[in-house]
Amino acid sequence: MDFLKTIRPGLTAALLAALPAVCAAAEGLTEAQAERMNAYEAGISSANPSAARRFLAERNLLDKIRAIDIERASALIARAEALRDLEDLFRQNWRAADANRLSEALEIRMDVNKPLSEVGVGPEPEKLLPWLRTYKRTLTPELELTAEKAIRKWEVVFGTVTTSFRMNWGQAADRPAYGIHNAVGVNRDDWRGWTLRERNAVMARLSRDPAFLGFSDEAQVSRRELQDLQNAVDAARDSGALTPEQLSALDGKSLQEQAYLLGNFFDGGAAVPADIQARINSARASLPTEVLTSEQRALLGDMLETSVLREVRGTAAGDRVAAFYARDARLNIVVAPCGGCDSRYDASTRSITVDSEAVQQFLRLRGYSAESLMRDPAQLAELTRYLAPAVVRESSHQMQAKWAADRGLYLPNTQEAEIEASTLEATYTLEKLRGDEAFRTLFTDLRGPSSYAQKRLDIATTFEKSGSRKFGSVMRSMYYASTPSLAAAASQVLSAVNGELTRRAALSREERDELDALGLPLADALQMQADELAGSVRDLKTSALTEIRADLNDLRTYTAHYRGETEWGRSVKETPAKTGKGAAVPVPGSAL
Amino acid sequence: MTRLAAAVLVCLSAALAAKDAPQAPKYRDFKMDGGYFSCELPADWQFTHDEAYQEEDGIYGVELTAPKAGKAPAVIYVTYYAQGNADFKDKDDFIKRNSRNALGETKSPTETYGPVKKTAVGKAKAAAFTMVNEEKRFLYPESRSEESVVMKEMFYVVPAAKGGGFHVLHFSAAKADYGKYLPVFRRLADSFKGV
Repeated sequence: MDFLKTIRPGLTAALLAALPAVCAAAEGLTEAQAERMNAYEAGISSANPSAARRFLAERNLLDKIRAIDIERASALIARAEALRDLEDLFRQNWRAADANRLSEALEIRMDVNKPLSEVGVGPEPEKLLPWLRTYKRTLTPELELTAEKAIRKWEVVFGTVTTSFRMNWGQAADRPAYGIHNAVGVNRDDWRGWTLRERNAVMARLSRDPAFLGFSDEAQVSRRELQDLQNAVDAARDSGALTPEQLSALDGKSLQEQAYLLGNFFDGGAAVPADIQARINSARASLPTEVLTSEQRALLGDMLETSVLREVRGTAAGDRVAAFYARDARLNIVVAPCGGCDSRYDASTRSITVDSEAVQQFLRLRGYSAESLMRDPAQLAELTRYLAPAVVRESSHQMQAKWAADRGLYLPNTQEAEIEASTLEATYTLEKLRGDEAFRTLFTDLRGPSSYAQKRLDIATTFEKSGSRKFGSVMRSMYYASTPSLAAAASQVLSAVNGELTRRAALSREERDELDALGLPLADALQMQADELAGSVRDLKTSALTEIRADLNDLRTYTAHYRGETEWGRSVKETPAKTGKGAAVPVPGSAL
Repeated sequence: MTRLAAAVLVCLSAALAAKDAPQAPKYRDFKMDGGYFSCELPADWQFTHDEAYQEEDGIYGVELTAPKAGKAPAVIYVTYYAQGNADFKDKDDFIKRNSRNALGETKSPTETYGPVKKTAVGKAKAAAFTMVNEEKRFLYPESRSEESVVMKEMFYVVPAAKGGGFHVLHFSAAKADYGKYLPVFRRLADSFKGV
């Protein structure tokens, strides 16, 4: 009940404010419907997930209130969707070891401008705890502790320390030798006012310290990977294949330096077992000959634009990609650091970035140099073969962007978009595995040392096993749980857009005209992701907000598009592979 | 008096043991629209029934997610594939595609696909096929992260007695959680009744 006490003043105000609107809306509602609407509004305003579920199930009522008062309907739907989503999240009984994943999931839901914050669950993370106590029927002490760790409660992260500590952050640093004391100060009182996103940004930096390692899964994995590299280096040293001079050259060097030197020794013919070489080559820093200069990266991007289209043709997915770039868009490939990804589509520049480190890892694994890659068409063809599934995947995102742009629709990145891209990639990979021996050999050879290669095979296997209908479900739960679904993203944006339109309605005509004169147009809004758009509604023209609200109030255009893509993926699978004959699997008796 | 004390102690320890023992999961009866199958479902698992396009696809299924969310969730799918469904030609096609990886291998450095065996499933002891697979899966398909989890899965493929379709009971969990949730899947399978 603490939770209800906390939000009671806000709730009362909201109800009073809502009354005239509901009465006005009630003109089109029956008396019973108007009563239900009042009850739903009260329930949703108090963050009651059961009320939210019941409300969303009332399809006729939803259609009616949409027709009567679209602003009110949209705001309520957005909040109800967010509450249902939060309750679903906590239907899983998170363990302490899963707290970091829970934290990521909460971070995108409890930020400022999110519907949950409008009903009192955020943006201050501690507001989650009373909500859980009120609405989570089976709240165990373990789950409560996990939630406290997930929201980064001060006492869980820092213990009983209440005094502030100082943390260097970029230019904001203490440099006592120079008399500079600019480090960021963090104390318990400030912490309470921070959102989970802000707290996690701090935790990401603190997790470099072993004392805070438990607050970052990524840091724990990095540490494990470092240990794997250490094991591989030790195995190389113990293999008996290195000369005494080589062994002494390794002594006293850091782990990365040892791995780097070993790469040189392998090039010089050191007969260390191939699997150990592959593990070290995959993880070590590139030798100078394996590093692409900026000129080489630019040239390679240009070369890939031609070679990729040649490589993908002849498959259903590839022909579709080639036709798209022949008719609707230009293929623009940039080879550059990708910030932790293998590839990505950048809508603002309409280009596909391929990670230069992934290319350099390929060079290390194949024993090629940057120069030989530029010179030798066979090496370029091999690299193209290796990167093509990623380019096909990203081209799907470009096709999605074009589809939305042609219709003037707002299209956030969602689980559905990733499933569509995964479908195109998987159909391409499957066809190539069945019909192109060189492709099959390359990915079979590289799947051990290159997780990129293994991931391409995994996606293809998942698609083949699941069938189109189940594929989406597996991808959502296994890989894209932290990406918002179309419904969740729409809910978040609708909530913010409605709030802003309501606020503007209360402004004077002059104030509204000024906002519209200075505001960003629809074209800019269409480039934003859901988070960014929800946080930028005050900067957009009213016409842009109205347009986006119209798009997201009825998701049928989007769902029909995604359904079309599912059916396309299915139609490709039904096409017999050109040379497709896998190993026979013994099935005991064809009939029972 | 000694006997009374002993009895009290026995009762007390039984009560304490009962309090400490994990609560047995509750189950509820479920019957699929159209009567394609029925079974008992674990009541505290998240239930999803996507009805969109099920008629067009000829695929009728439910999905259950365990009340625990690790890096990879434990999931049970119960599905009826009607004859002429959109995804699998027949049960043999399903079994073939779920018994090997995309390269056609039954064993790879990261995957092991168990042999397909005959078995019996459900109340009616319907004839079926079963297989158990293990797969290492990377969690972030588009990033450079190498974080992974080993998944273990079990299938029952049950030909329908009439209509030419087939049912699939599929349980998948991180290997570390597999044994913990397998009894739930077994109970669901034991209660299963198809068309």
